[in-house]
Amino acid sequence: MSKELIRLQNLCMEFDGERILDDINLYFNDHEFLTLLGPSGCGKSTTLRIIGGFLTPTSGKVLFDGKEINDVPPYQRQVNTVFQRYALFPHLDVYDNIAFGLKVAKLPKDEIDRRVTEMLEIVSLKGYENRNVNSLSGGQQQRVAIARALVNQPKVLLLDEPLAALDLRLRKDMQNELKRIQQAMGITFIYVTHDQEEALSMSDTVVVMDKGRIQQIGRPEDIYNEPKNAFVADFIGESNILDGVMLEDYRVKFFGRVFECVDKGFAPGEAVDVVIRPEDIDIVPPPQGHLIGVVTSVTFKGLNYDIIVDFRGFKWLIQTTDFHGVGTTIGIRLNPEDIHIMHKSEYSGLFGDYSSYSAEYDELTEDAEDEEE
Amino acid sequence: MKKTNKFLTILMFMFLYLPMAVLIVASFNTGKDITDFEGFTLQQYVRLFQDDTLLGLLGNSLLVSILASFIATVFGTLSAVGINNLRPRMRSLVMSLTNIPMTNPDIVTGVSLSLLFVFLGSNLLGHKESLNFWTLLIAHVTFNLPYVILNVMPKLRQMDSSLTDAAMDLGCTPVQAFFKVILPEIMPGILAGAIMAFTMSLDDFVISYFVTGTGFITLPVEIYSYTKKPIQPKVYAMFTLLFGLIFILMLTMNLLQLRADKRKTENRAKTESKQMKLIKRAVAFACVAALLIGGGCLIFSTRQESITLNVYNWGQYIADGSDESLDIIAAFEERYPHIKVNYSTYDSNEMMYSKLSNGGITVDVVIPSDYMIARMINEGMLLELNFDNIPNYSYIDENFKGTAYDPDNKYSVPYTWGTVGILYNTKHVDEADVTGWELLWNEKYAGKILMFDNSRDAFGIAQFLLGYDINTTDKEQLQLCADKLYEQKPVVQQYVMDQVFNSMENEEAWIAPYYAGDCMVMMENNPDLAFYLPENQGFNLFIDAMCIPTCCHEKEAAELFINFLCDPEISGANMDWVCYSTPISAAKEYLSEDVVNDPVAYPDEEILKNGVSFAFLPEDISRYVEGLFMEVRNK
Repeated sequence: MSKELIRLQNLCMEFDGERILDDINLYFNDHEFLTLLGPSGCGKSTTLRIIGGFLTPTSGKVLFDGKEINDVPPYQRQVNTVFQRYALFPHLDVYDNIAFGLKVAKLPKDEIDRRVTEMLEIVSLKGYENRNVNSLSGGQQQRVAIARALVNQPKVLLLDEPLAALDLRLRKDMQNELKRIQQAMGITFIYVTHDQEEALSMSDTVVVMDKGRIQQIGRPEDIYNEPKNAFVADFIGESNILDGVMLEDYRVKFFGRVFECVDKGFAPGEAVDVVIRPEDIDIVPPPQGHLIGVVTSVTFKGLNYDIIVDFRGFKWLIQTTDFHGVGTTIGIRLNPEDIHIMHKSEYSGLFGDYSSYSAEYDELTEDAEDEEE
Repeated sequence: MKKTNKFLTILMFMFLYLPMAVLIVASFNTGKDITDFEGFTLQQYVRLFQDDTLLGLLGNSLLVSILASFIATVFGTLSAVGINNLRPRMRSLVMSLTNIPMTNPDIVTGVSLSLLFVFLGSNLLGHKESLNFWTLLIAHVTFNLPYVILNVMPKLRQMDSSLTDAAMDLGCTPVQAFFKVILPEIMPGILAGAIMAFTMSLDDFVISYFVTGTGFITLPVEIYSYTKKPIQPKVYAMFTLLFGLIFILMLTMNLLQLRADKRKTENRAKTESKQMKLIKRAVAFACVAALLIGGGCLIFSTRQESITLNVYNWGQYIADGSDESLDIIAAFEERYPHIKVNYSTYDSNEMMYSKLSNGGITVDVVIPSDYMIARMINEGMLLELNFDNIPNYSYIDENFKGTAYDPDNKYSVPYTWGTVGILYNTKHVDEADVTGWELLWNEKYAGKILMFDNSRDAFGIAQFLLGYDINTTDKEQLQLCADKLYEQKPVVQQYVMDQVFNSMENEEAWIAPYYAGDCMVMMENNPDLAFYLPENQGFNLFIDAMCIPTCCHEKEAAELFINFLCDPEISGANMDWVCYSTPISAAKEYLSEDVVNDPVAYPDEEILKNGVSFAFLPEDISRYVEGLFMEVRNK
């Protein structure tokens, strides 16, 4: 295990009496790519700004290499930040933007030159030295911002939704690019995003946050496969979340039927949330199904169809590559490993019901989130 | 639409720049008059650069405006940064508070600043002369600040707020971040603010007028007093240079802006063109509005069928209905409904003279003082009156007929008269010292003595003291008078005209020579003041009289107006308010007895005999006197 670099201890933050961060405990390891993931307003950016030194926590400690740095101003911290809208200096060209930190540190000119040139190569911007930053594309500006931060050889790089302003295609490219740079430089990246796909594909560790609290910490696979509560299950991918009762280890009852599962350690008879990922559900002819339902809506998604199936008044989302028209009666089978059991939480009953599902509705909320940021 | 747009734009530019063009042409004119261009010369520029006083004043102005705009720019920029960091609600509150002084009329700002300075100066610092260079500078910084803030603020708001964070993240302290990142970003705004502040400062008259003492005068304040005599062409030359300077400043500013805009990305250019469209529309709208208003005024004025009588009088020199007085003009218009009086004022004979001699205006009745009437008669600027239309002339006392300035009673009808004496404060001035004009030289009261800020009255006092004729043309005598006045300078607090009211009533000064009528007003406001007429040494008896200048358009109506003012009842009601003495004895029964019996207003006949009136001085002598006085005052 690599060594611990930053630790947040009982971190609380309040603005105007409103609690933004509620008792955050978190540590960051050296060479780690860690992502703070959550909807807007969950406190992820605030956490990042506290690590960067732009905000002072209301209570709690920020430790760096074991030393408290609560009162150390940003310009004395060994971290650098890539800002959401890059915050490049418009009056300076690409070279001077990247060299900014080195010049402030009064390094010798030839060393500045060497390091900036090296950095330009790493971010594939050789030949752009004298370009005005305003004349660059979004992706190029992004890379200048990363170079400007990395050239200072920080121990930790903070990235605040750095890809939010890019279009989808560019975002995918930059995700790979960022991961490559992180591995090449071998430094810690603390990455903030509300895009779960981004978080899962890039991170070593994902921290899911909501309402100023950490909901779950884990490797991307664990977060996806073993969500701790309904919020995480819903936020990371799509989930059908059902009320169930744990009869005993490996046996859960829902929809009036007992299913085998792989979970254990629950109290016998404990009410639980049952999570079933839409892509894990096998569609079979009705007679062979564990459950039988009627398709009420079909949306073509390119790779697959999203179909909404009505099971005795409870609607599920199922992803399938085969077409099933509206009105078709289908059966489904659930394998034990497709069923994930969670303890009840404050989020139970809030997520995982597709009764009012609409593809458009999803997009609308996503847009609204973007605007808020 | 395009064509009309172009046409309107051209028209607007003509409106804006034609006056400047005329001024520039005039500055290269060999002829004396603006009306005919005789030939091209650079003589005026040569004269300008030989005129140390004028250049000195220009230097003063530049000094104040550069210093003030610099200080205001530094403080304004810092304030803008501070305001920008406030919470939104607080920020908009502070912004509206900083904008108010800008929309405040200059005159209000000027007077309130002057009051503040005098109050602080005399109460806290005990300065006798609380208005000086520093108060002027502070005042300029004060009114410049909002302009700087207003220009810097938008740049700050446009700036990505995370730039500061980014700079600090890269190792800058907050101060370094300001200089390395914020400052370059908001520089265009700062420059625009600084240039605006500089130009506002350079041409400010109103505020400067109130907050500056006699020790340090800026060009606009001085130019204002220059208008009391015809403006010399070298002043045109200076204005041309000033205009050029401002023009170049603005041009550079716009070029800088243009260069900055060019650097912006393409999508920025799109919004820019939208702005251009908006600007174009605004300009077109302004033009149309101006045309409509102008046209409306024109139509309105030509539709007036009645006679308009243009009366040009001293400020506060006719009863206007305030303080329960009779509104003389309203009464006249009521009696002669077909005549509408267009009343305007001047603050000195010289200003009136230059307005009339510069031409371009219509005046039907004017009320100059004695020596000015003599000068205007001499220069053929007055019309002979038709006394058949002025039967009330018979009421005028014989004493005021056949005067030195109008010996044949052809051109003028006396309006008021008065004496020039010494006003002093009985609390502070020993009665025993009040012996004559020498009181104004008494070192015992150094720093508490005010003196006339006009050459004729100031020299008159010296002449009485030295026993010379006040209408002398002897340059040697005049030089001796100037020496005498120079000798007085160390004890003089300030050279003033109307400021005398404040200073004497508030007891900032104890002794001042002034006109009897005004002295009575001050004595009423401060009972400790007393008036002394140096009857043995001689004193000035001044008469202001109604005349009709050659630029008159409605002579009969003008004579009707003069006649109306000579009606004893009207004259009585008028003088009751004006507080000067009436030349119509019959009017006295309409005046309060206190005034009629007041020796200040109506001295004994015996004493009056020692009064001397100013007469006409030849052009070269009056200019010589003026020059001598300027030297005394400014050096």
